[in-house]
Amino acid sequence: MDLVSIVLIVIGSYLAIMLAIGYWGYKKTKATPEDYYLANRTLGILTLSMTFIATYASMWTFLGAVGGNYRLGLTFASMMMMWNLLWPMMLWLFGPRVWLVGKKYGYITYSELINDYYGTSLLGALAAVIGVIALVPYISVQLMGAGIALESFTKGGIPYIWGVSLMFIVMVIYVLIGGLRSVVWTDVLQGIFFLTVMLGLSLYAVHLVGGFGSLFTKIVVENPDLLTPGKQGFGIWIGYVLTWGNAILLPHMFQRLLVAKRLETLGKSAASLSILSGWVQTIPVFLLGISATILVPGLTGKATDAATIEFATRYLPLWLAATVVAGAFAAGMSTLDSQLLTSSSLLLRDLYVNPLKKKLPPEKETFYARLLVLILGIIIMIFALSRPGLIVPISTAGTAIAISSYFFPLIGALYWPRAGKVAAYGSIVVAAVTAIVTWIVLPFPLGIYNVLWGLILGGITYVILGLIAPPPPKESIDKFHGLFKKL
Amino acid sequence: MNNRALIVIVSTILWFIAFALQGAGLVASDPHVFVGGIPLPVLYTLIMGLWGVVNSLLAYFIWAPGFYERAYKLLEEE
Repeated sequence: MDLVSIVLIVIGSYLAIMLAIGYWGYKKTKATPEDYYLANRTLGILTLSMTFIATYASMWTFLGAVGGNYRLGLTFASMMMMWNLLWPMMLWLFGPRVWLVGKKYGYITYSELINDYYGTSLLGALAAVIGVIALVPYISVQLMGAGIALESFTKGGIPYIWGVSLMFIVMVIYVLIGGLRSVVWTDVLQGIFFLTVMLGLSLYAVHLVGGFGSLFTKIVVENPDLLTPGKQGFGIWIGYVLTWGNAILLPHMFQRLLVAKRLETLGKSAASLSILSGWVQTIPVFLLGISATILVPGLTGKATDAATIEFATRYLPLWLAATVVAGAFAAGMSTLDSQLLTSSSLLLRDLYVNPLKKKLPPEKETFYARLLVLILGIIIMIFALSRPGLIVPISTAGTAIAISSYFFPLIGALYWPRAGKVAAYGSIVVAAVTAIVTWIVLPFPLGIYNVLWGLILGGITYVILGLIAPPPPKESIDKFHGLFKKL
Repeated sequence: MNNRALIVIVSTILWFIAFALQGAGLVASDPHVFVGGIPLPVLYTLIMGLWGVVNSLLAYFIWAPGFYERAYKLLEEE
């Protein structure tokens, strides 16, 4: 059997399973926005933990992070270990309070929470625009990754457009019909699948090198820089850590804080994610990356992103290598589906229903939500088919913009009753503009990554305006901080 | 803030500083030093990884239980 047929059988089987799960989600989903977007806030420990990790780890983890370890070794791995442990810790900072007010007052998005707290309807719309800017390029990266992975693995046998279209069609169908229920159950399967594939690959790579002792000895002799930390400037190191360590603030991750059935579920997920994200995700990627420098030598620059596929092609039987490509699909789709669903909620609720104070019947709102999933999906598909060259830096900067903008208004709502809406508007605008300027106009001043500049200036603005401008309405302070005082 | 929450917060801050020192290349940076067959920088990263997990477990086991009970009472109040 030829390469293309094997790949199509493996990927086709995998996608068929995803569609079956999507159909199951559709049968369970009711026509209400809360059920479509949040699965009626009923997720348990398994589904919540797996949807968190599968949504967090993307195509980039499977391909780009292995390339990062190939180029930078322990410098990259220590950075990745830290941010992969930091974001589950941030669940403790934000999670319980967001869950509590979400459950009590019925919020579906970040914007609804801050609108209600600061007593304004346009602040959330501004946050939603920033959220969409952050998510759309990021979503396209997953689709592009699918196209590139299939095209390069089959040596052009499956053209780029086929890879992009396959992932797009299957994913849009199951998100469209089943909403969050389909997303989380496909996430459970996809998360287990790609973590298992990555663990298996890394252990096999270490075995081929001669075991752990041999791997470390060879690298210390041939390329000691790979095991020397601090080879990247500290400003960039800490910037990456703070970007991905605060990934819980990204709209598609934030929405997961609202879906736990009980508060203990969120706590158990935070604890289990410190192992799943910090160890099960990080260590295999590190081992595969540094082993690949010995097994697949000579890759440089962007070509290192193909280290996983190169390794699989050279050292695995064809059908198993095709399974690795399916693993990359799983990592990409499990992020993409959540981002698409959340983008639909940002547009529908934060830019239409809430600012215009529309009262839509639940069935009609759910219909619009599905329609937006389809329309957004088509726009993203067109974006991905145009293969924009700047997509990766754009998605990274978009992520940094959203995180630095969202941080302080949420901290105020949860922990500091002094700052009002002027401080929140000021902080969001200053942080977003700073993150953009320190990426495009003055790239990374003093060697410090743009998210850090955004956080610093956004934080200073929030505190100063918080002290001199009026505080939030008294009823908001009672509603939020009055509640938290009793905890 | 109770003592239990303080233990979790202090441990997390110390962890952040200790890990950042390695990120800056200031501690455990010589790969030629092996401890138990593992290069020192790798071992240091693994220890930081374990410490990070311990922080989350500390939060879950010593801080969270009382918090949950109070949160459920608040949800029931109307």
